[in-house]
Amino acid sequence: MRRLTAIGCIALLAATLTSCATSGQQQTEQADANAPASLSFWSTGGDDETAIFQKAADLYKRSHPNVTIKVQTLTWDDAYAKLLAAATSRTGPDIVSGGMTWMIQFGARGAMVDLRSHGLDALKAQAQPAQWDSAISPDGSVYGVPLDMSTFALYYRTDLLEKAGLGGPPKTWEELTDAIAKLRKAGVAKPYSQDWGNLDWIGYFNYLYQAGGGFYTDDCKPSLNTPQAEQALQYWVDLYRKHGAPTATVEGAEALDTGTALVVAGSWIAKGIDTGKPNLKGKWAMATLPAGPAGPTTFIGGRAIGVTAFSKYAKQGADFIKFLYGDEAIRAMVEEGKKRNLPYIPPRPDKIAESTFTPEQSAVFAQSIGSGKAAPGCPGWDESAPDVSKQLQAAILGKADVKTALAESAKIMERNAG
Amino acid sequence: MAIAPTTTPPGAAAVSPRGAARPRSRRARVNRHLLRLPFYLLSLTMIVPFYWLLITVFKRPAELAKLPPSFVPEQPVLDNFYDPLWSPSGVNPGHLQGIFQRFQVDFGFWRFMFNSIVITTAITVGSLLICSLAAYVIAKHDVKGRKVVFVMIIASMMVPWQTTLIPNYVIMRNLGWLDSYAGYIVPALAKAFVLFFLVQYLQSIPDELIQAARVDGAGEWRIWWRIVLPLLRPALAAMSIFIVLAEWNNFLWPLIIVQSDEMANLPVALARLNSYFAGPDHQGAIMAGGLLASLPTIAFFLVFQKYFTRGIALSGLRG
Amino acid sequence: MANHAVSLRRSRLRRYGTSYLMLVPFLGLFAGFLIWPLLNSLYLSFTSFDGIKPPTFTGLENFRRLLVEDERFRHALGNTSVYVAASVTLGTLLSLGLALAFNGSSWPHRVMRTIFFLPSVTSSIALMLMWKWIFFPSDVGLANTVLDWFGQKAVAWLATPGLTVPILVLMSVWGGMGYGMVLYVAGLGAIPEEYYEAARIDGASTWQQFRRITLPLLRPVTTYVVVTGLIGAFQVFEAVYIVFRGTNQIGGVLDSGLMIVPYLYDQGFTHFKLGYASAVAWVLFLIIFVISLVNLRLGRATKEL
Repeated sequence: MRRLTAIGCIALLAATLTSCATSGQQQTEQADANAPASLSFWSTGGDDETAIFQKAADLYKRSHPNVTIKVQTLTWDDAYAKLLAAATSRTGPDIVSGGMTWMIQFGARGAMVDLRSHGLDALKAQAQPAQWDSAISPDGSVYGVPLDMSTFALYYRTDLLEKAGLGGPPKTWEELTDAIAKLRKAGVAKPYSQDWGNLDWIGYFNYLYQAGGGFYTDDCKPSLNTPQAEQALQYWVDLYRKHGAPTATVEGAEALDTGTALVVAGSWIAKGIDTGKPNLKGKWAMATLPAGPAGPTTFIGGRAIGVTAFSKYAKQGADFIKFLYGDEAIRAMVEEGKKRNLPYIPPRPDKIAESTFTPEQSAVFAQSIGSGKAAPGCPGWDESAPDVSKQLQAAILGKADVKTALAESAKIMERNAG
Repeated sequence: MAIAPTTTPPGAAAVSPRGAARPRSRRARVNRHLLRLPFYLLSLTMIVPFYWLLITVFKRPAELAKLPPSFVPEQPVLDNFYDPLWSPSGVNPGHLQGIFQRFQVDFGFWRFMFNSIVITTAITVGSLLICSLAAYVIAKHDVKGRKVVFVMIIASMMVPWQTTLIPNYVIMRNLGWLDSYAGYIVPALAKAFVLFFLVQYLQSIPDELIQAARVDGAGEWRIWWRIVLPLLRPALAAMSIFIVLAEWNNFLWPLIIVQSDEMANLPVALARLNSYFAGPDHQGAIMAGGLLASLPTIAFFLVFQKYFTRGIALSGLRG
Repeated sequence: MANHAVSLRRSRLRRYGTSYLMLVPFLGLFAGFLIWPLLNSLYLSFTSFDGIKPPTFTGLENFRRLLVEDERFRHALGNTSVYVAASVTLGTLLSLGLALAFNGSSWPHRVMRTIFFLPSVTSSIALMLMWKWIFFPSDVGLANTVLDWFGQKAVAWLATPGLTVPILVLMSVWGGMGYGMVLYVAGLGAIPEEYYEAARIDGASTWQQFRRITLPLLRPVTTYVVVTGLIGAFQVFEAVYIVFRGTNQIGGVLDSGLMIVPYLYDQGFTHFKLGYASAVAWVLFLIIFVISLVNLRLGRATKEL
């Protein structure tokens, strides 16, 4: 009897917990548009960048005194997991930002607002077309729009290039391998390295598109089984295996500082070199990436921003995103970015010249972005990306030949395309 | 985790010095020292990483990026804790944020120190109270079902806690306890190994004191508070060491339940730093954070050194 | 008589009532956050569950995929096994060696014991960050500096698949041997001095004393060190997550550092395949369960010896 009571107690407790554990979710009701609204915005990136967006949010409050937006940071490392958790639990932020294609994934789980219902598809006219396409779901839903841009550049040590008798940075693939050989001959121990995208699909992206290939066809069929993809991977692998590019990722500014002559790195590092590495002042410059057989196509990165389906303030959130595309907000964010010595390129190609970078740097980025492409927004891509990267690594580390690595990658993408 | 109830009285396993007094020939002694030599050398591999960490904390950012690295800070500074010359605009090249300047939450780094202290203390005190209460009943009350319960609890010690990670996450989510102190503390309170250890310890203590108190008319709660807890003191000290160390270093669970910047504990906050800042010049501040995060447990150890070794020994010889 | 019996029953009932009341906090929490989640995760492991829609029952599909198809999981199991075997063997041997070397009460011994124990009381994340900094990719890292002293070229420590598990083993042994040492020192202290005296009178050499007295009497400690070591090693997570993870993959280059718990995290919390991750969790449980059973067996067997 007593034992029964005890067991009963436990069972009761378990039952209570079970019932909490399986309770469903209901439609989020929208708050009154005029009532005071307080939104939380989870921004993927660094704490400093958060400050830029907070600046825009404060400015927004000036014209919309009822709307308070608090921005908080998620690090790139665990942002995807955190946002996915919020998306599945239907609790958390009103506005989120993250990788270009993430919003598509969260949207597919029903966690994002289709911004078309708030008229944000109109922003397409202002955005960079390739970047816009990358944020849009294959079915046309707009779960996220570009928030900012980033791209690649080739950073180089002018003094070391001079020492090797090179007149300027390499402009094509052939010139790049040539330059590496010359630098090595001139006694430069570390002629070349890659920071962003090292051993990762993002690094391969540039070569793939520069060779005329692509991860997917226009209608989202995996397309890594092409001669172009093979040529691109072969060239990239050779950079490591024949030309001694390091497999360990050294941060770009650090690589330049420790004597690497040519460094492929993200646009953002241009900002901190002079302040972080005062010794390098006047000894470095930058250019667009060397072009491949099919042209100079470069990866456009950046973040997408969207509004969550469980937000009570979807209307205000969408309105804030529209505001972020306005001249006034961009000016405020650039100003704040300059004050904090931070990289920030607005999502509007016509505003790249107004980024926080110097005019010369902006010009390089504008050129890259002008002919750039962004991550494929095809179904299953985000799930495939890590495994595709692993296949590429296998090729780089000599564990698989180029053909097999690409065939395996295509298989993975095929499977995840569902 | 050999489950073999022993009746060794508490303290029997205390470290007793031996060896020195043994009569030995000179040659044997020399031999013994020679045998020790590799282990003395091994201690260098312990000291060097710690030394590297320490000097990193006191180097200027520029010195950290310098080649070859220095092994004595050229000019030791506290900039990695707080650099007054750092400014967001970068007008002072070569100056970076110290650890206290890095987090955009109120009180910065101290907020995480506070979280860690609150969570660790609450779990330690809470679980010792709850477990000792249950241990008292299981060891000293002649109630039906206690054996079944005890066997179940012992069996549960074989369950790696990660097995319950996903359902517990779902429970936290549905209770609205993600990102809260409750989410940190409540699921961590019922610790099977603590209960097991306390029961064993209590079983080795004779019943007389408790019986006498009962004859005097003391209630069970009073007996638990007034007699059992004081009797358990050495065992509680031993267990508190395990709990404090485990909770202070807890990482995976917070990683999953923490959402806002403010609710991170020290490990999660430090891991976050690690993913923002990649360059060698930032390592000074990161190591400074690591050092600060270690000081409380190191101090705890130095103060209670005796209990540490004894506690570990107790767990090992009885467990 | 009857009255007495009733009052006795009532008083016992009251006492029992209190007893159960005292058990309730523990049992409630125990049931709510251990037993129930354990059963729930068993259930989830037979389902497909994305955290939004209710779980759908898929039978043994998760386990079939896990054990037959999933190369990453096989990889994780392989890595973990090598890591566990190496770190536990090395860790146990060094712990024993240290305990034999430094079990005295003189100050050099005490200092040595403190030095080796220090990692056990240092923030584990701080240690991981320290290792990451020691194995820093460019030449400013300590490891590459040491190589440079011997005229060796810098090594990409954290981006060379063959080095991943050895580095994880190094970190684990370095951090754990002091703890094992303390256990062994206690074990040594519990061996009565008379045994050695008797052996010496019989003319036993130091080695014979060690083989015949020390080692057998230390067996319970060894079992404890090995079993807790095995269980702890199977659950490794932080070291992989902090030191080896790349931007979008948890296991480091080519998954060379992928282990069971990091894989569980990856499937559960970056892919939100909660059913599948539960199956991973149950495989982990079964492994640890088997170790515990073998340990029980061994414990009984050695007792009969």
